[in-house]
Amino acid sequence: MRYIWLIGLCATAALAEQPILFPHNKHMALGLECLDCHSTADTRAAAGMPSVRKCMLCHEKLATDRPGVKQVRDYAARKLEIPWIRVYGFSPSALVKFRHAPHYRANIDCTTCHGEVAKATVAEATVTHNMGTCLSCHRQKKATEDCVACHY
Amino acid sequence: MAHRWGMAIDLDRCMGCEACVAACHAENNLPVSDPAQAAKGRAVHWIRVDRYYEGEFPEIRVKYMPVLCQQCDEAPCEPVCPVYATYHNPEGLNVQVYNRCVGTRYCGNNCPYSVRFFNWFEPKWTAPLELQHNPDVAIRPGGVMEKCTFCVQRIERVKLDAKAENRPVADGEVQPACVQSCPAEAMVFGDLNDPESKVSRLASSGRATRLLEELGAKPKVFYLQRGK
Amino acid sequence: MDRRNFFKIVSTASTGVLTGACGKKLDRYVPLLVAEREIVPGEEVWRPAACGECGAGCGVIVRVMEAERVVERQGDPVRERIATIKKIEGNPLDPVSGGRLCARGQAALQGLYNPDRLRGPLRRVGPKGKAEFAPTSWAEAIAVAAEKLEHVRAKDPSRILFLTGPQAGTRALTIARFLEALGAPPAVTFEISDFPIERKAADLVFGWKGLPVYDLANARYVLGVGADFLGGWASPVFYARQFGHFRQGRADLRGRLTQAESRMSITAQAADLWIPLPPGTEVLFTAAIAHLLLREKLARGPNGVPQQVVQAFEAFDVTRAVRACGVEERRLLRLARELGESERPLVMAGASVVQTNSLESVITAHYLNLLLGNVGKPGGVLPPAPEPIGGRPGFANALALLERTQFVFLDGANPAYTWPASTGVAQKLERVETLVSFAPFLDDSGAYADLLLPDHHMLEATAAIVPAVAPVAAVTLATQFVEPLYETRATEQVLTELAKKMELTFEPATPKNVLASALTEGQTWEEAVRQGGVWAAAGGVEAEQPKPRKTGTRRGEGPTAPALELSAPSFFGDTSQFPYYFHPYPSLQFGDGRAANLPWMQELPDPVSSAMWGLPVEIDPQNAARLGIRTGDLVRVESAHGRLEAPAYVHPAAIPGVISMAIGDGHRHFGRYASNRGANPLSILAPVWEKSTGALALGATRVRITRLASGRLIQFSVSDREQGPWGYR
Repeated sequence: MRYIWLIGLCATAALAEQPILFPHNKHMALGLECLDCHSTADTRAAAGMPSVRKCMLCHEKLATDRPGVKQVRDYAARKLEIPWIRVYGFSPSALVKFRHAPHYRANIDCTTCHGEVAKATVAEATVTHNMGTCLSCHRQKKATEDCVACHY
Repeated sequence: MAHRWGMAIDLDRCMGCEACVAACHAENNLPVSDPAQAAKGRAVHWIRVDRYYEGEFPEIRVKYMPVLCQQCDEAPCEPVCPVYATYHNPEGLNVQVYNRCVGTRYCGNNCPYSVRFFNWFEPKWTAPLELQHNPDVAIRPGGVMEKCTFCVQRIERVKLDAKAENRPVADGEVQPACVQSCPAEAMVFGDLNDPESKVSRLASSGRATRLLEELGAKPKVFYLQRGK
Repeated sequence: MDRRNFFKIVSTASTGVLTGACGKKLDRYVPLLVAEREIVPGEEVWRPAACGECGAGCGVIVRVMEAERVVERQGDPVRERIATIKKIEGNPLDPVSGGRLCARGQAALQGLYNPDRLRGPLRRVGPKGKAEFAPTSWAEAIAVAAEKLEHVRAKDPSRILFLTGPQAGTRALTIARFLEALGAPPAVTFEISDFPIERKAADLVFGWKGLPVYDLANARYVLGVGADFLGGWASPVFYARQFGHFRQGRADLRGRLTQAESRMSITAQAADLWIPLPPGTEVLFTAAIAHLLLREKLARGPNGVPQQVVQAFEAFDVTRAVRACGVEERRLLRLARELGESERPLVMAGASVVQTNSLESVITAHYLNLLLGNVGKPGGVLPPAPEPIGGRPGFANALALLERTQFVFLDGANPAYTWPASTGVAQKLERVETLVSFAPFLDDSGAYADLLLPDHHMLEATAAIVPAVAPVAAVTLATQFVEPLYETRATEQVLTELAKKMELTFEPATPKNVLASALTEGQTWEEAVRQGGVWAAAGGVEAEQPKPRKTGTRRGEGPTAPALELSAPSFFGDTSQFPYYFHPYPSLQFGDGRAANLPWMQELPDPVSSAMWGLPVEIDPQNAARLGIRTGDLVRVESAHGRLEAPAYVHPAAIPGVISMAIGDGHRHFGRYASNRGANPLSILAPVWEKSTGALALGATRVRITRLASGRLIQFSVSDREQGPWGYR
């Protein structure tokens, strides 16, 4: 009962390493799109990490013999979420509240901020985000430069 | 047309129950001080309920008045900031940018309503109290001023939802935490640029006044006086 | 359909959009029956729950989001992602809270995440009352409890006492079933927040079971007598919502409120007129209004009132009230006229601060309402809605019971705090052979426990609650959504395990099995869970017409209505030694003290004195000047039964000679935020009870007050701080 909500346990020592070496490139090559898994990027603030249940929608049947998929199925069988390590995000001291949806609506390609994830294997932070990069784009696109649009 | 956010507080409905104060704490990650700091006047409440006595016993009356940042159009706090950390945004909000603030506290001194607070220390929460923190609102570091934001995170969220559905923000859709919690529905929030909004209508009612109006700060919080 | 939408539909197939009856968009709910609970990091889910902070039983919704905590497992720090509750708001579908919530209810979060919560079962290792405990396992704790309980049961099961709190619902039903299986007497509630006097008065006059529902929203002129209904009496959110409507919710119609009370309460300050009544004179005041109403021929429903009561009102000598209440006759007359001439008058009576004659005063007020002809009518006094699942614990003075008890269970009761020291509660708890506390915290009474078996917090629990006051038949429902933070265990489960160990036939009451009968046609359990409760359609209450009891003892008429008694209140303590009335009142922040461990509530400025982190003694300016007491001075309040020390607050609206003090501080044990902070006014009270209900007479003690030294009252309000030295922030 208790572990339903222990969405994965992960020793702090292993912080740097993803629990499963998720190959973005393979999934993209199969024709999947970012939004298939990060399904709230166009409507909400957070892009959303897929739940293990979502992985299992396909991997219940597909590619069940691969080592990575076995790991996924193992998490699912134990009713644990996969403790993915997030690679992008602002430090709390930046006091920034980023929202995906308005950027998606402004037709900013995912790759602008996340790089060529389609070609990447394990997710890595390849694009630097700082106020300079944010603002130069905002100026270019004539988007808001109001401080409180992002800092609150 | 841009929004111009404002609030009306009906003192005929308000009875000083302080539900708004608790709501603000929960929503905005306000630090809780301790008795020693509180005794030095360092307790932080973005909204408080002021109490006034009128007359003498037994003909005495007690008046309550929730006071939060009045989001003044001619905000006295703004011109005194040497680093432009407090400014007026296009929607009429008086904004405090924590990243810029260097902690001169000039703004707090110049605020006639005493609604600005200084973080004397890095705020601390005894675990696991921090699990309650609202991730939509920044945890302010030590050394910066903070104050009521009209729950800008809620405003932004509603604007986002409305835009996603390709519609205008409806009147009453944005509810700062204090407004949402008020059991007597004494507080109304909305767009003062929309003449049909509830807050506009209340602001132009005969009972509407503004706090320390004679100072000319042009607050955007309207108090509706008690009826007879 | 594109592939992405396909994904969306599959993964959230059971997410229904619920449009509430009140028209508010409610798509924030996610139904329970998502096969696996799913939360997107950074996104919120709103779930219905129930508020357990007081007996009002408000329905709430909680905002659940993912968060991370670091816990230690086998010596290693481990990151754990859990679902956490970020905020509590009222449930817009709930007829009690209507989407709103009081300060205390919102602060319940700090109970859930309180650093002082008990993390698992504990057993006593030191002497009783010294609060020395060591961790134990659930299996061992239950085995020990079962053995001791069996020992007492075998000899004399009547020596088992279960003390509970004011909330009715599945918990109380489970306890009742457990005690029945044991052959023990039913559970008893003996806290100060149960309103036994109001219940009894409604029963005696109208034959109603439960608290009457005052239709404040539709009234036009309201006279409040002794009930601080906006501050914490009965159901504060429910009445505050109605108050807003009463004042400004109707076009061109503003309700007028006159409040007669012995203290400038939250209600009194919101009123258009406050009539300061000396403590215990409410009954004379009400009788005088009734007399004048009859004299002025403004009574509309004298037929509903027993003849002998009308006669007693007619024979009442108004000068008696004028003398006792200190209110001039012409003023009383004006009030009577205002009431009598109003289209919808209402008298809201209660006993926020119980006096020895409080029952009489509430009964008199009910008769006054009958005279005004408003009973059962819009804007008047409405009968309580039927309680769909029952399970309201009985109120009784448990003092004598405790005396002869060997085994005590405590759940939602804290006698070591709420019973005056003069009752000898400490010694009595010490003498009890075995004491088991289910409180989630180590509290004043828990210090005497042999076993602490911490319950889940209400926000982690599954429960059905019956609100104290509801306009329609209502059950508030909470189903567990966030996992318990610690190794706590639901008391229902503990009782089940105890019963199993003792081989008793026992089945706990679960919301699902008790609600099965309360669901009306077309309602399903799943729907009830999604909405957070079951509520009868509005209008059901008004359909039932009141049947006031007749006087006389004709056979077959059942119990008779009480005759009018207009006795003076009793006060304890010699007038020459103890010249002042002591008037402790349930506070806005802490209620009867059970919210004192919430840091938000400790730092919430007191509505009157603006005090934080410690409540003051309130004294009027006249007596304060005479005694040389200034705001902030440390004073000693002494009764014949004890004394306390606290800072003073010179209250310009205090009635001369009445020393008030808010209840809530002064806990011996209640975590880091409440322990040994301030003073407990209940501790110095005389052991006096209202006779027929056994309710503690809060306001029946006389005291003296002396200044000890200059001290410090921590205040927030600017206007108060400006009077002192230069404050900075």
